[in-house]
Amino acid sequence: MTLLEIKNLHLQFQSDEGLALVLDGINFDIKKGETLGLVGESGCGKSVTGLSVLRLIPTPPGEITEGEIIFEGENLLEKSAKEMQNIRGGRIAMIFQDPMVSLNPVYTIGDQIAEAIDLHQPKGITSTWDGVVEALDSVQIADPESRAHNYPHQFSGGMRQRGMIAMMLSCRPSLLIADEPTTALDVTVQAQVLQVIADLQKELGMAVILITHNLGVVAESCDRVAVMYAGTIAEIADVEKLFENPKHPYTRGLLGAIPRADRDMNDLAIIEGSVPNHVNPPKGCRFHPRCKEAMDICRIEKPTDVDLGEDHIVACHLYG
Amino acid sequence: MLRYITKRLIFSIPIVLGVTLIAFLILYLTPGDPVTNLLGSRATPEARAELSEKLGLDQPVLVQYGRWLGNVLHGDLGTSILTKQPVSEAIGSRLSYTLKLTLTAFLSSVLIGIPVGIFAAAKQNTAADHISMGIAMFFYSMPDFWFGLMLILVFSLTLQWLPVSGAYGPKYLILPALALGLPKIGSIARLMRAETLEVMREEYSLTARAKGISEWLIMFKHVLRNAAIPVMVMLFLALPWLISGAVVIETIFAWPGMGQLMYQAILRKDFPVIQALLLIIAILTVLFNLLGDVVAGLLDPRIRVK
Ligand SMILES: Nc1ncnc2c1ncn2[C@@H]1O[C@H](COP(=O)(O)OP(=O)(O)OP(=O)(O)O)[C@@H](O)[C@H]1O
Ligand code: SF4
Ligand SMILES: [Mg+2]
Repeated sequence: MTLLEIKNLHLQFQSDEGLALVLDGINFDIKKGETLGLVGESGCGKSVTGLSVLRLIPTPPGEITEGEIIFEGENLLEKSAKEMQNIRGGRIAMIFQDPMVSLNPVYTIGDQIAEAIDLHQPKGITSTWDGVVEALDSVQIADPESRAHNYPHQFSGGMRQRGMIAMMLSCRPSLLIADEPTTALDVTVQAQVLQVIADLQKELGMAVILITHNLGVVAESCDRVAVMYAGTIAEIADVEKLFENPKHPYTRGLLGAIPRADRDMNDLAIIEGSVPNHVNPPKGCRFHPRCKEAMDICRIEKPTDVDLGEDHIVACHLYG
Repeated sequence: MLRYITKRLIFSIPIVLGVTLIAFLILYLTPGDPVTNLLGSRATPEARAELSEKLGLDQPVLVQYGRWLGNVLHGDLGTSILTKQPVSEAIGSRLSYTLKLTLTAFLSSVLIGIPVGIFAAAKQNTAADHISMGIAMFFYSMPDFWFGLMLILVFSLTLQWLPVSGAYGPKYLILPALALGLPKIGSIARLMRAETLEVMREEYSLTARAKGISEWLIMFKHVLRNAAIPVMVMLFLALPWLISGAVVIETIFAWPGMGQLMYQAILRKDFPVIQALLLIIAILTVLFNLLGDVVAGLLDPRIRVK
């Protein structure tokens, strides 16, 4: 069953250089309980996609100009500010890259979790305090009763990220948007944090959008992957299918250049040329200046999404 | 926290001693002396020598300093060379006037400056923001004595609502406190706005939003508590400056505070009075610094909880 469906989403930012079309009509959906990986080079629009779903794009300078975000059958873009507050943290949660700066330094971890619980009043919790302890316990924080009284600076990086997960998942959302949740962490604790997310996902039956640079993480944790390129989605497919049989020239370049799937794509100058800027993007297919298979039509016409069957979607003129 | 405070107090003793010693040396080295002031320039050398000896001014400066310090530790601030009044008495009555003036100016500038700064930050880049910050910039740029003169011109001489000078009731406090406080309103509002905007851009503000907290609560619970920390420290650091800034304002408004006393004492080289006033200002500075750090510690667990 479809939980979230993004249709033809256009997002632009007013910048000094001009109007930047940061999301140029993206489409994807995510089913209940599923994990969708969102990958792409830095600046391609992964974070703003996540923020758009929660309607957290700063406006101005940002503006969603077109499209729909259908969550549990309702268009989030038509919700009032008050309705969105109930959805945020209640039905859709989001965690960020750097747990060192994403928790408020002047309140205890317990207070910050309690705030979410008091706000959303999730079912099945006897008291706020029990909810706090349970949430910390669920992310494997030892001695949650006393740890709840700690301030963020008394937690290590990995613990802070787990504290953040505890806070965001304390109200049992049906969708978690995790924006590079392990990028800022020590390699040794990355696996633990991903495991905590996976465990809670199973327990709550929650869907996860996992934004990452790391194709190894994708291979390990995701059911499906969406590959983004410069504000567009190049290809979406099941993980195995994408790794075994990539269709989009960009995806092929990515995977072909990576001998093993455990490399960070930002570390590799895998495809010649650089990410285009969003103010004056290339006409037609935004990838054409870097594409070895570019044809005349690619410079004129934007490719539409082509369904190759079995949920394998690619936006490329080769498959028109 | 208590240990921290004790430690800070102990460390501040050499600072206070250093400030008073330097003040002693500067007074000693600058031209003019109290003997000439008292006896006039045509006094006989014998008379001058006699008075110098009586006041202890013939001794080396370090001996004078040591003697003064010994007396201070025994609670004796000396006697004014000019008025023969005990210094503690002369200052005692004036200290309360100065505190009344500076604290009124300080509190009202905080009560106005902080909300204005928050308001401007919340309305960032709107007309309301630009106008309030324009006014704040103006307040901040003009010196307090200019405000003093303008206020007298408008409210005393032209409108005749408020008295020009003196200290005979609450009405007399308004203009000098305003003159002293207006530049502070400007700087406090500007700082509060800057700090608030900075915290609003912090990622934990985004986290709060992603949790579903209303904009109002984010501002008052998450943003302001953090923005207040540097502002508080700055306010307490600025308080002693406000007290010394009162020298000019007290003189303009004939406000019988320490500033006015200081002004007269410096003009006439009344060493014991100047020394005692500097000692008090040094102690107040150290105390307010400490108080600022204590408040910061209370607001910020990163300082308080190790
Ligand atoms: N607040 C903003 N104002 C202006 N432009 C913005 C803003 N936020 C994002 N952008 C622009 O939107 C584009 C996409 O940014 P986004 O943060 O989504 O990239 P990303 O794919 O998450 O990159 P990274 O991997 O570095 O996190 C970038 O070009 C960025 O400059
Ligand atoms: S549409 Fe053309 S330019 Fe774009 S990826 Fe496909 S072949 Fe390359
Ligand atoms: Mg990002």
